[in-house]
Amino acid sequence: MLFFRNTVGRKIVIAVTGQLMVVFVVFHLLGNYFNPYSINLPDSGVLLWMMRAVMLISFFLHTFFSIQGELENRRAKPEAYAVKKNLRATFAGKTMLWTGLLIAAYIIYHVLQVKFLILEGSFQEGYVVAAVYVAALATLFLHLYHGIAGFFQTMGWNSERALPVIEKIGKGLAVVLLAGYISIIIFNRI
Amino acid sequence: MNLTLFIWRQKGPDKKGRLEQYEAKNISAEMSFLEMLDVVNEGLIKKGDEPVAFDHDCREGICGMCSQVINGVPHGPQEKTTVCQLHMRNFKDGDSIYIEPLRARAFPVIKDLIVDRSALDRVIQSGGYISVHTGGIPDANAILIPKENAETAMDAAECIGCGACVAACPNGSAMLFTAAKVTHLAMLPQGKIEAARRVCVMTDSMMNEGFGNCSNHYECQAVCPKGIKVQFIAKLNREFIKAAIRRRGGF
Ligand code: SF4
Ligand code: FES
Repeated sequence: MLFFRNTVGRKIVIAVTGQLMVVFVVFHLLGNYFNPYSINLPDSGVLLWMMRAVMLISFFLHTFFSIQGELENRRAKPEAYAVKKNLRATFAGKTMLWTGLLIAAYIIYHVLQVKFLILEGSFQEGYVVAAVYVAALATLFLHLYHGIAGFFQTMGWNSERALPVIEKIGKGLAVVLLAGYISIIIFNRI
Repeated sequence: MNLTLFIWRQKGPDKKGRLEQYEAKNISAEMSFLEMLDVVNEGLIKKGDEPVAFDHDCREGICGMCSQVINGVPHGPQEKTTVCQLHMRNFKDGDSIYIEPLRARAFPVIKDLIVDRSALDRVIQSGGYISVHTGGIPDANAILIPKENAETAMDAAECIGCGACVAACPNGSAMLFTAAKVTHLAMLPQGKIEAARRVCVMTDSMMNEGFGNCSNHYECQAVCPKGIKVQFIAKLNREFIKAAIRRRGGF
């Protein structure tokens, strides 16, 4: 399949699945805000399971193609420069693999804790758990700082005039999400 | 002015290279960077040493042969300027300058600062062409092209294939180069015939040549001596989506 085989196709898959997860992150925040302590969705029903399936598939496609691409990129650049000055590349952009893996670890931790109740503790009770949550949010912020704006470029929705606006929207949304989630933790702790 | 140079010396493709230190004395600010290296090389030849090998041809910024990474930036510190058009007034007396070859797996070093960039030619060969009728010369203006499209095509056609974008990209991707070619041809009616196939085979060929994937760092645009924009990569992505929808055989 062209979308899974070709470098541009895979990038589009990464972008679309990533953005689906951003949509989830937005709704998850809204759910937490207006209906605290629950995910704000019916516990069963076709819709819920469909959403879960989309998220699960997105998660795997996004992770798989990103790691595959990253490995190819490392191979493509075997020798480092003695001196290299980056003019545009950001810390957030260059650490996508690592922030991504940390977020994946956090998602597993969070689901085991909140959904399956296998892991004990919650951010309302323990300072350590709260610290983990804040660290995870900071990591997510970095990931989205590069990821949301990149989505538009990858889908081809970019022009010379649009680029600065797109970058602002992407980074702005990353900031809003970070602030939103951290405020939940702060409200619940004070 | 007097400068200290650290230049990558490598005897051959499979040899180990390293940075070596040289002094460049009495360099005038009016010299181009390559002329400065000529002066250094004359000194080396007089001493009986091997001169530094570097690529160059037109020395007027249009051929794309010159290619060096100067203090960590392909083509050096001046924006939209090739090494041959970079003048020594961009440097100060006493400066240290690091000069390295373009680095990427797809660009193996041949000697010193010379790398083999024929991988870019093979990307072009894979799909960077159009089908035309043979025979008499077509009438002028027989095919009408909107002014804006012609301009965009010309902007994309400015790419001189120097490979700086690859050298600057943290992923060693040639996406800016490929996108410039794809856009150039996709903007014109003559390029439409192979458009769907072209974007697929050229990006596949890019990967097969050992270049990396594009992950939107935009380092390429920052170093491109011809001001090729990442918006052309967005255009390539649009062309790909169009191709994927149209070419059901591709799925
Ligand atoms: S896009 Fe720019 S940097 Fe890349 S090969 Fe063409 S002219 Fe050189
Ligand atoms: S030598 Fe031709 S562009 Fe520099």
